[in-house]
Amino acid sequence: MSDPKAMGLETARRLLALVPHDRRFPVGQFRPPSGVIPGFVRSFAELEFVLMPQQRSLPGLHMERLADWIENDVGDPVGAGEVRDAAAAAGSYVEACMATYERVRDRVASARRVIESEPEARGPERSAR
Amino acid sequence: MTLYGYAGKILRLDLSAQRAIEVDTADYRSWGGGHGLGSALFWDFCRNKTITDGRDPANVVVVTSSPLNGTLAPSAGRCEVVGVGLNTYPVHWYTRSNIGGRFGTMIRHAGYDAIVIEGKAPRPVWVDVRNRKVVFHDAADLWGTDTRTAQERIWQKIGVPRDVRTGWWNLNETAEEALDPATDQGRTTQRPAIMTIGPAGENQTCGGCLVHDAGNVAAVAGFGGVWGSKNLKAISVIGTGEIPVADATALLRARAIVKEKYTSNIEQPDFEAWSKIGKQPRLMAMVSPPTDQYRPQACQGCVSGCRARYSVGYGHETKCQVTSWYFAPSRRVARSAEELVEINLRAADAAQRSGLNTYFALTGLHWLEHLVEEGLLGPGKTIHSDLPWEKYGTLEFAEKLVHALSCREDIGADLADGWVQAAHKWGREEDLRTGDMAFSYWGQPEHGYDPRAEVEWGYGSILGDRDICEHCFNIIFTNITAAFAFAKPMRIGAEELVSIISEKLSPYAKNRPEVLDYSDENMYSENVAQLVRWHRHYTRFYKESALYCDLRWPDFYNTNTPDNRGATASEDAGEHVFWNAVTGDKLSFEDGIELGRRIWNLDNAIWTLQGRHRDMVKFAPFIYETKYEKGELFPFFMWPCRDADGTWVYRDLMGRSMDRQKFEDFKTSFYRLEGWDVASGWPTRATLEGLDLPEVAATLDAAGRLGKESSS
Repeated sequence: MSDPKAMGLETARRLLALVPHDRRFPVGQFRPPSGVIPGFVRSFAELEFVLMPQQRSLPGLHMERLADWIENDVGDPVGAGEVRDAAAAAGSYVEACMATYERVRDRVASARRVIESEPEARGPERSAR
Repeated sequence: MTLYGYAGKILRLDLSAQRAIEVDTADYRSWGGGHGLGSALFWDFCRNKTITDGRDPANVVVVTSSPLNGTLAPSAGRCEVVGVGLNTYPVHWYTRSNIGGRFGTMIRHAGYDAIVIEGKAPRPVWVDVRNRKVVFHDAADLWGTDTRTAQERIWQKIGVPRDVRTGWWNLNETAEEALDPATDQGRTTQRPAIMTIGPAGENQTCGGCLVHDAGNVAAVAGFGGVWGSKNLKAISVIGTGEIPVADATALLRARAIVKEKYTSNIEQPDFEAWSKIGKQPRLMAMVSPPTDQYRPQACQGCVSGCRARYSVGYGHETKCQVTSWYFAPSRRVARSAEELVEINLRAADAAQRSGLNTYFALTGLHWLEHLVEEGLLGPGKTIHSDLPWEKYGTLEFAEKLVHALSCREDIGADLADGWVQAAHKWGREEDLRTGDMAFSYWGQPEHGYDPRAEVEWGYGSILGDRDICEHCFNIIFTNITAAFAFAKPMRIGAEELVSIISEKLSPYAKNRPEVLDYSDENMYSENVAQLVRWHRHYTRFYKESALYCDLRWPDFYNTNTPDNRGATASEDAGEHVFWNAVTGDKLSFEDGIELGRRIWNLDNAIWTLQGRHRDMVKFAPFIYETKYEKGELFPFFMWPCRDADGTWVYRDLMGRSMDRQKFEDFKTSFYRLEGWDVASGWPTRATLEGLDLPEVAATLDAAGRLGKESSS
């Protein structure tokens, strides 16, 4: 588990920022009967919602490629390592998703705390409305 | 003579003359109900069956019920709509759509088995139908309203007491002068069932839906836009008539058998049962409920209750993909799970109120975002748009997008006539080649059960008229893929599974499990052609005419029973058992399949008159030119296959594309088996006359579009 204190401001910013469109990561959602729905993510925060356990759907991810994306495109080798370890220890695909979700959720929370502790670093929040 | 299962009359609405005409249902009895009845009525009352634009005043739309609507037949409360639609490319095919709720049943209580909508009203109208009394009303004050406002105003106009939630109201007290006050209209606890359009329909967009109550929608065909072209805002039906049932004892017995034998024991529920009719009831929203304070809501006669009404006041009755059409964009901005759910359910409400189909969004929004990110779409760009793309993912953006698409504003001006049509207009044909625009069949978006892996879905869609949205065999994929994902043991092994299913695939594939082999080696074979035939014919009758719910039928296999055999085709609670109990028919299960074949052939005759030829029957280029990439959408896509030594296994089918020539060979096999001309795909005289459709053969012959008989 990553130590939030160890996360630097630059890493926190990277985790919450969008990667360029051409470096997006493909993800699906298995949602019977709607189908296997295509999509992609461009940030850790989006990834958290993709992986969040839902009653009616499963996330669709290529675990090995996800760790590579986190390391190379998001620029978070620590997070990538955590995801690799969590997926490797899981007994099933769903367990791997849940373990990865917990790591991603924690990284996002850490990043938000780091950003919030740096008032000058805070940009205007994007409203959902 | 009593016509068991039927109201006995069909209502023709001549919008041009604002005249109501009745036809005896008995004249159409051989078509069963639903889609079959609708196709027969379309054939008889559409004077120009060559039209290729659903907005043509000659178009005829038929709203039809089933003899099973409102009876004890489990999960048979749907309502079918047929006509030339607005939402296919390159031709607006004669097509179908399906809607739940109360409308199908209430038509019958009001005295009719179907409503045939003809012509075009000179100005906006709505139609009030009560116990076989029909009144056309000016809809000037309703035009421009959303679907919920329109329904509420009509209830007010009709005089439904505002507090009629648990009590009775007397139709006599609200009878207008146009009605016969001497006639006892009866009392009811029900509000009128209203089918209406919103702005998306009024503006004649391809996304225009028919909406009933809060969240029952006939969406994919674009019939809302067709109603808009006819100046028809809404139809309200209410009645107190009864539907005679031939053998109530047999009906009750079969229903009890479904409960006792095929359904998971409520005392010891098996939430992971492999079954359709025997699954525990559950909410079908694709996002978590916004609150734990909600009530289930079901179509009449359904055993499930897959919708909900929430105490929070939004998201009512919406289910399936509508609840998550905006899911991918919204996760970009949401700061909490609760906010994510609220954005999605409120975005769903916006679409339901506008009467806008949202299926395009699952793949179409990714395409639009791709165009924005490529610098092609936006303010001052090649494809100009003033929408606030910087707010993509917010509820504000969703509402503005819904408005633009519904009102032909901004990019909606082009997309309203079809998304693939817009791609061509914008010079983006390449996106259909790369898959950036994943619209697989007839200009409709990929459903998520890709034809390159789930062949029966793709073949059925492209050989028909639309994305089939029929989950008959798809449940196999769902069950085994979920088990793989959780690393749980298979409830039924591959060999047993295909054996059980094939027992029920009479007559073409009975006890031929090889038809369920989805492997590379078998996917273009005559075996699979037989599977697709069975599927086309089964659904045309049992699912779209008898109107069994797609999510509950067929029940091929069922782990609630000792031998894992499901209710479908069984002699104790099969589909035909309920049909016979209600109608007094003595149909075998195979008789129903044969009636489905008759309906399917009539549909193909209509497509043929519209200009279809086998050369048009092609998937979008990306299906042939790119692979369904393993691991991108999901790590695996499991189906039964045979190994080289004949052993049945569940195998991942991602990573393959479709071969153009082999698909052409598959079409030839399919056409030959159907008795259609393999060169054109048109029905032949021998086939049509064999189905007792000589007048259809004569019409095709006169049009120069009768298929050539096979020389073999």
